Amino acid sequence: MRYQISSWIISVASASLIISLSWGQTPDNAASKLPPLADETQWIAAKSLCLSSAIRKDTALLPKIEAIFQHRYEAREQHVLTVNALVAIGRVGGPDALALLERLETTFGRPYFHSGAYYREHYLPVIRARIQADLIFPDVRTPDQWQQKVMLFLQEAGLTREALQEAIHKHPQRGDPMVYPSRGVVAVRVLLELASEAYANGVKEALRFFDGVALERDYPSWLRYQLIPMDVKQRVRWLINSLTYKKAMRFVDRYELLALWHCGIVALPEILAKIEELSKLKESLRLHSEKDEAIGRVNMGLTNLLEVLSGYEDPRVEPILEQFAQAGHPKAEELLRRHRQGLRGIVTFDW
Amino acid sequence: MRRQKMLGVAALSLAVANLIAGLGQTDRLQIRFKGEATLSVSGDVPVCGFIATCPLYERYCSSFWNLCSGGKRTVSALGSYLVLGGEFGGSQGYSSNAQLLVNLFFDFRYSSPLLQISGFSYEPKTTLGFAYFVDGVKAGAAAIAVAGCQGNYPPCCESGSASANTAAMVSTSVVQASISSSYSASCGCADAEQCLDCTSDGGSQWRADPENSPGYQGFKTSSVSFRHSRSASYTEELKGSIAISGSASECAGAISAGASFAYAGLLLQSLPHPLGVPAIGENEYAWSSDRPARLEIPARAYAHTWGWEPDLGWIAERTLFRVEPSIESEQTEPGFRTIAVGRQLIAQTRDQHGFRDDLIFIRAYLPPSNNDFGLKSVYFTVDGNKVDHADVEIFFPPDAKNHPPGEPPGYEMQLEDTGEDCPRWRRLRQVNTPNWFYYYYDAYAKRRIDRVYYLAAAHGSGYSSGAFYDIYDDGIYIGDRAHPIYGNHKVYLFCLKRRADSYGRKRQLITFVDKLTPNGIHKFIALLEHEQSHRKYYTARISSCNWGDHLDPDEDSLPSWWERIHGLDPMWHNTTGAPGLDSDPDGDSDAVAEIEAFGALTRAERFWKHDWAQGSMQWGTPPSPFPWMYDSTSTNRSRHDRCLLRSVPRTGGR
Repeated sequence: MRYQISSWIISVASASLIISLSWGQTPDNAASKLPPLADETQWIAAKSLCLSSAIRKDTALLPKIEAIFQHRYEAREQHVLTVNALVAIGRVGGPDALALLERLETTFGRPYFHSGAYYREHYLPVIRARIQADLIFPDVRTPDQWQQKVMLFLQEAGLTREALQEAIHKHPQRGDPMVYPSRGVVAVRVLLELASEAYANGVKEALRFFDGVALERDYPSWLRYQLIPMDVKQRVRWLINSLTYKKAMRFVDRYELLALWHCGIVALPEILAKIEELSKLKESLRLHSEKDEAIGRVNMGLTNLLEVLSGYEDPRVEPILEQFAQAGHPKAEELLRRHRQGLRGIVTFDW
Repeated sequence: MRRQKMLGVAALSLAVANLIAGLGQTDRLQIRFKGEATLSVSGDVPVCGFIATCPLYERYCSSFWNLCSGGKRTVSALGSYLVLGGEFGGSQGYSSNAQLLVNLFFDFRYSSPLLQISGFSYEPKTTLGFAYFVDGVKAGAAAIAVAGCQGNYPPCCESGSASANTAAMVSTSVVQASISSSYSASCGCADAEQCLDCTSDGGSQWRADPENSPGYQGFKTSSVSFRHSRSASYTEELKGSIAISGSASECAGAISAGASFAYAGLLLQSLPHPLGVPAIGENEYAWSSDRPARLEIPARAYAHTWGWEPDLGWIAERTLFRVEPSIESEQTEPGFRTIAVGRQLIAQTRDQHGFRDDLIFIRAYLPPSNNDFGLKSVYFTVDGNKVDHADVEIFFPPDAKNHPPGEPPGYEMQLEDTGEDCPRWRRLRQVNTPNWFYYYYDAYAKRRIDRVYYLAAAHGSGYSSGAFYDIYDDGIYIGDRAHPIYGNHKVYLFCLKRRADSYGRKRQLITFVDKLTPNGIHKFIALLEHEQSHRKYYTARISSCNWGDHLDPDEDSLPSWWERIHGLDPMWHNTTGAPGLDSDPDGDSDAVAEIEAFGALTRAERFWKHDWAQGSMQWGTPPSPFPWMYDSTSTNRSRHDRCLLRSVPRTGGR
């Protein structure tokens, strides 16, 4: 009898259990299991970290770069950030950077990581090749070393000079959000960085490699090519001049902002001086009611310089941005906000 | 077997007379049973009393009922059954009546599921249907009468006579039974002194209603509502009575015996759970990702009985489970029959191999239309009468490609020579599209937007897996950026604000203020409408990638004259100040498309109801907030609600 009672209780209890198991599980929404989608502040901080790391070449920053991929990013923002991160890893270099690239390959394979296949195919081989070439030829000082470094780089990247020419020929001259640079274009950009270093070490032949390569089809490549023969002061002057004499601000012009910022703190005095000069000129134009176009150019120049200025970590930056924001400058308020959020760098599409 | 178990249950103490049957999630739905048995006895009370429903361990002892002298007594009943029996006999007259009334109280307690998500509400089903069933009602009566002279037991009589009568009845609200039996006997003796040549008569008459089966069976459907209260009750009663009488002379004897019994219980749909709430992730089922595609929905009912074990074979034969709106199955007959296994009724599906439990749908491909998924009901019927239903939701696996062949196609694209200003794409090969694209297209785009294709990959250059409008073939290509789960898309939002343009003049300018993160199908809608906007402006000859430096100095694809009158700065490729558009070669052109996409998105705010991708908005717990989130507040209301642009403004400024 006891058995019969027990069996009854067990049967009811197990039936309840079965029902609760099949009814009681409330599945989570799948999206809730994904890494969080970063907000703009997080994106700006991550981007700033990448840009700063690229300049400082500090291997201690690699874990921080890796950590930024714990978040998801809006597709457009993800692309900008991923390129910045990969470029930074390439510039930092070393065995740790190579190991990080290996791990990122897994990250790029995750289903929520947009265009993961693109980064694996077009960026990772090039960045890996750069690091390996830098490891073997860290300091190119002769044409022969340059030649060997280029050969090694191309071999590691799975490219030839002809492939680079073809790739850049196919690259749409006008930026297009749909068309990211192909491996060959990325390789040209990296090679120009390597050439810049070699040139600075006296290897003038480094530029010859690009003879016959249609660099004008890729503005960042063309820009770097123009800047390589110049020393830093010349570059700063050239870029400030270009950025303050624009009728309109196009997408590709933003690479000039980035290039100026890359010149480093040495550019700051010149930028500040130019801002002051343009401010006075603007007042003068207003008083004399000059043509719109002249005022427009001054405004454009001021805005460009303020944007580069906002990317610097310097006590002089914030008061100037505040001053322009209070005067109603169209972009100063936004730049001030980004500066306070910690953005140290320039937002560009893919470099 | 059934009675043995009943006796076992009877040994439980009265302290557990209130039985609780948990049904599903803890505390969400409970069924409590409470029984009350009232025995009334009149006339001659048998020495051994009446066997009555409760408590049986007292057996024939009438002392429990304390009705040795007749009367009425009410006690708790252990189970949802009635058993009444009694007998009297002897060589004297007797007359006795017993009535047993068992009241069955079924209490239901239901706690509505609580889920507080901003922007999302649901109305759970609050009616619970069930079948009250009686599995065996039977009445039996026996009358025995003997008369005779017994050699060893003087005195012998010259004659003897006896008669016995029994009437038994049992009734429930669905079935009843009654029977009566009488028998009489008499004898005479030629030589009473010697007790010889006595003619004796004796015998019995046993009768039962029904005669040859365990009992009459029946059911009726009913329901309770939890709309206004968390508790509901349902009551039934079982009645039994026995009337026995007899008379006997000396040297004769009469025995009357009667019995009646009834077993009752409740039959409730158990799977899918009838009070499951699909809106919050319960009762959700997804088609398989393979081919043929397969969908399995459990369909079961559970018998709640207290103190006895049911045999549900008879009701299984009359039970069917079906899904409405129907789901077409090409290779099976779901719900072809129902079988009983213990306390469960289980729907079975017939296929070429025989029968398998539950409702199984098999098709070469998934159903053709997005409308074929979604909210349906699994009905539990007996004799064609609906007992209850469970709301369920049916989903498709988003990443699989087992939808029916047909439009719209997907393509791998090849970037052609980009000597031209605008990138020219060529269709490299046609590929099958993932289910999410096929059904989202069917739900939203099919009757709205032409020439929409899935972008599987792009070759020949780097590419973004986003979305684009191809000016050469007038096609819109949507890639995995619109994926219901993994798509990382945000919509940029703008207001008109008075601020200085590049000339320093104060103007109403489109200004970036916020971002919106859409969920599920809304990502698809936002991206599609964004590209549709590009198509609109391109075909209206407003947008072009080769206006030239004079007409479009900032190279944002929009001519200066148009930018001036629509709140944009012709000298800035990104007038709006959106950081994301700083890095976007399309700049202001994309801002315009984003504004129109946002307008379309808000007009399609209820489209989440058409999103049946597994893992998306309606699968599991809805995402919070719902159906999308603004960055400015992390809720579904923007801090800038009042000024957000839903169409491109005409500012009219120079």
